[in-house]
Amino acid sequence: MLCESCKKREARVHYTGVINGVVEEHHLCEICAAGIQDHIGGKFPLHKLFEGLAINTRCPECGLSYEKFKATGKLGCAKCYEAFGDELKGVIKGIHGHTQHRGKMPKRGFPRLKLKKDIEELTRQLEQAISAEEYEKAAVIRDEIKRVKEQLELKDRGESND
Amino acid sequence: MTKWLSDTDYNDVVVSTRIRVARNLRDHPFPIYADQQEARKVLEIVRDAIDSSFEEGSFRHFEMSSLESRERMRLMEEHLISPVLVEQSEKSGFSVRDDEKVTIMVNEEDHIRLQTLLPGLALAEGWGLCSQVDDALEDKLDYAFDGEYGYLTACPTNTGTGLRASVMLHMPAVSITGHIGGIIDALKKIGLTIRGIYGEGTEAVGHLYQVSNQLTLGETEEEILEKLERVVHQLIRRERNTRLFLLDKKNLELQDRVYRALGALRYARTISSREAMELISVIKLGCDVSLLEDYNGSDLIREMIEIKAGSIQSGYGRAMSQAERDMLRAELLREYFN
Repeated sequence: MLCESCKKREARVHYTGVINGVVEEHHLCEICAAGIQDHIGGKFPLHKLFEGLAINTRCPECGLSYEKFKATGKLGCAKCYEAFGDELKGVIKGIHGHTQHRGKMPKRGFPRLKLKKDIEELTRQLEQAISAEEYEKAAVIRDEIKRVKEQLELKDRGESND
Repeated sequence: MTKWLSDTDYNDVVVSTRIRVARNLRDHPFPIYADQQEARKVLEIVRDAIDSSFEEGSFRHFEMSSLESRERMRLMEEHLISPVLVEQSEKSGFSVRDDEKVTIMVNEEDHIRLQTLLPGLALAEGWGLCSQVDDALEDKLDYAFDGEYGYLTACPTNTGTGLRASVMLHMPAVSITGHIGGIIDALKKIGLTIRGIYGEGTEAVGHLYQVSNQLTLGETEEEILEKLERVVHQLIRRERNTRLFLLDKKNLELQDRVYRALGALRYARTISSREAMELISVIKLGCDVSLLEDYNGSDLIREMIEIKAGSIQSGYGRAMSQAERDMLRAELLREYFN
């Protein structure tokens, strides 16, 4: 039996209510019964971004079709990001206004990428410090950039020796 | 129970801070499309990573399928787990740290939803803790990550940092005066969302709201948190000023509202959780503006949670009808407020 409120999930909470002497049976899922606001299905009107797009591409890894992604708004696996290429990139750009991640990244799996990102971020901070005329701070950042660049060079050399 | 509630600097307005990051394993299908066998594998892999990263026994593991319905509802009401985790009950599980500050949900929309829940306004502290646990897990797990897009998630709305930072606020004054409408519109324009925590649509039961970042890609975690923190401070000021306005210009109306609420809580014989939450919210407002002195703000918020359907049934250890719950709830409230 489906939940009488969301009509999506299985009803697991059953009770009878008496209102003005009339007995009514109710069947709700746990989420509706707890009265928690339901955000399942995403807060973002994803479907708006898909208008005009229709391709038959499938992800070679998990087999998800782009059509299915359009319908659910959910990707099937990490490889889908590659498989759906520029179409997906357009969607991401539409949602966030950007496609380049600037935040945290795993250290272990991507040591060289991490160092490169660190250099980019530090360079940005250096430019900020210089334009704010904070020269002492700028000097510290410059030294840090030098240190990270040396590390990166060591890694590059290490890998070419493999 | 609800260990994340305690007194902090802004406790007249701020209830708690929640930080969550979404992470996925590189070589496994995302949970929504995974069959039970694949989902089980992921549950085991993540559990092993947790056990080998942290002191023995510091995390307790649960599988959703082995919990009673009312227990799942209680955990949801306490915000320890999310509705999607409950929806995916056949495949999902979670691990919670002793102090209940860290929860790791497995096979929610993403393989891993790592969440920290702290009392008061604690965005930097919450992120620090979250990132630390994330680092420990990353050391054992191969995360799905891309040089351009960042952390890859099942829904592209979370891609990038995978970070959702939210602050729970108690804002009775701006709700009563109707100022909340303008605030909601203004926040939307700057990439933040505000919504009620319980209840449907835009209504907020118990005048509890959650403010959070909408966008996850393009800014660093620190930038996202700073922006949210600035806005929360503005909201605190706005709510406090509106309370002063009510106290000054609408004193009689405010007193009437507060004492009526107290009367109802002291004498009601049957009460729904929605009505009870509204009344307790007004009592908390009365305490925060010093009209009442006998109650403590965070105790009142705790009371709001503990009288919800799942918590009551879980407390009594059995399922019960709504009529019975409403009666027991009124009994609990009479005891508390007399």
